[in-house]
Amino acid sequence: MKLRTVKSILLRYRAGSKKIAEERDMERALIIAHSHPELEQIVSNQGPFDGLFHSAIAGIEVSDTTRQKFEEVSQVLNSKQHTQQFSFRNPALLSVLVSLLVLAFIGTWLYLSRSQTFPGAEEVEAILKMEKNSNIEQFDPVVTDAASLGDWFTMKGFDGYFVPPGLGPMQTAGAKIFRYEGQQVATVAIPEGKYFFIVFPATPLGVEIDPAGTWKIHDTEEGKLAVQVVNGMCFMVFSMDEKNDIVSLIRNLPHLPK
Amino acid sequence: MTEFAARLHELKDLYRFSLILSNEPLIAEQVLDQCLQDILKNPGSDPQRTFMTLVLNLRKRIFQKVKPSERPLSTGELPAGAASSLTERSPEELRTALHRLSEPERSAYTLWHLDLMEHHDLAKLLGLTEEDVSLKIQSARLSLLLALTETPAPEAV
Repeated sequence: MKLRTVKSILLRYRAGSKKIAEERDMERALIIAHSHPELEQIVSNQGPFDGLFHSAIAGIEVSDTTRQKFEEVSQVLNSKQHTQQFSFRNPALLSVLVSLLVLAFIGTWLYLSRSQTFPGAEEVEAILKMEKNSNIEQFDPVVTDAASLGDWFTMKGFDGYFVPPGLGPMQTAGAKIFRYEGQQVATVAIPEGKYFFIVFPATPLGVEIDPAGTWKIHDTEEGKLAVQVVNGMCFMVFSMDEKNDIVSLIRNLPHLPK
Repeated sequence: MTEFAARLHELKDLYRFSLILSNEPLIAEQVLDQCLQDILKNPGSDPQRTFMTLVLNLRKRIFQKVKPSERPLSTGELPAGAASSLTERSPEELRTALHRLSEPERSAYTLWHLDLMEHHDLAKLLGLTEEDVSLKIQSARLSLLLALTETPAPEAV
């Protein structure tokens, strides 16, 4: 520490000051002053001088009116400080509120993303619900591979049946057509894995998944299903067996030819 | 005692500061009262900041009513025995001499005596560097000594 700095620090030394006593620099400056008589002289000259003025200032008495006012203000400020703890200006409370808002936003976003992953997701869910509530006896027994059912559905008056590549060879046990919102819905039952293929016109029901052939895995109350739209027709597959993993099934399928 | 309660305890020192600046008990009380009303309206959450605002407002308002004097700055060192030449002076005379100091020496020396804030906060409040505050304190001492030794002490009746 330079002597100039020490001198500057010593100029503000006052014995008995709590604030000054806490200063680290002051402690060091006083130690240095002990070995420099001229610095020690500064301290010993200013001490009694400052003492006189300190007494003069401390001797200023506060009037009874002012003292009373101080007490009133103290009470009000103290009560305001307590109120402050529950105020929206309280930084701690504010951060908690912001966190809650963020959590609420994330929760809402997750809920919406779950229930509305693509336009028409509600229609897909409704069709799935109808299918799950239907009776197996409504199916016509048709034993063939899934890709070969196009003609069978055409003969029944349903155009546009298709099966994505990779799912075509799966053996069917039955097929049927039912109506949802005035639209025909084709359903194929696959015994292996208890899968069901459902095909219906996408556009009239507002189902849109871009680009064409993209698989969407959709979580519903009825379970997971995979869905895609090709040439205006929607294809969806789900399993009655909860152990079957739709995601793995779709992941192992070959890509659609362009 | 909470930090806030401790700060409030210092309000009496604020009155003392206010009186040194104004030298008029009535003005000192009025100004302090106005400042307290301001604080009551918007107490803030940080007692330290609230307190600093109070001191700053007090200073501004006093200066609006009582213009700070402009005296040349004194430099140098306090001579040995400086205190003994003032022992005849009454507290009122010492306070009047304090009031007559120029700014920012007067605020620096008075606030330093009142021990209301840390040195760096005092520097911030006065818009000075920490070293300058030390120099202003010293300048205040020398000016006080000069003023009180220039004018003879009133004779005791």
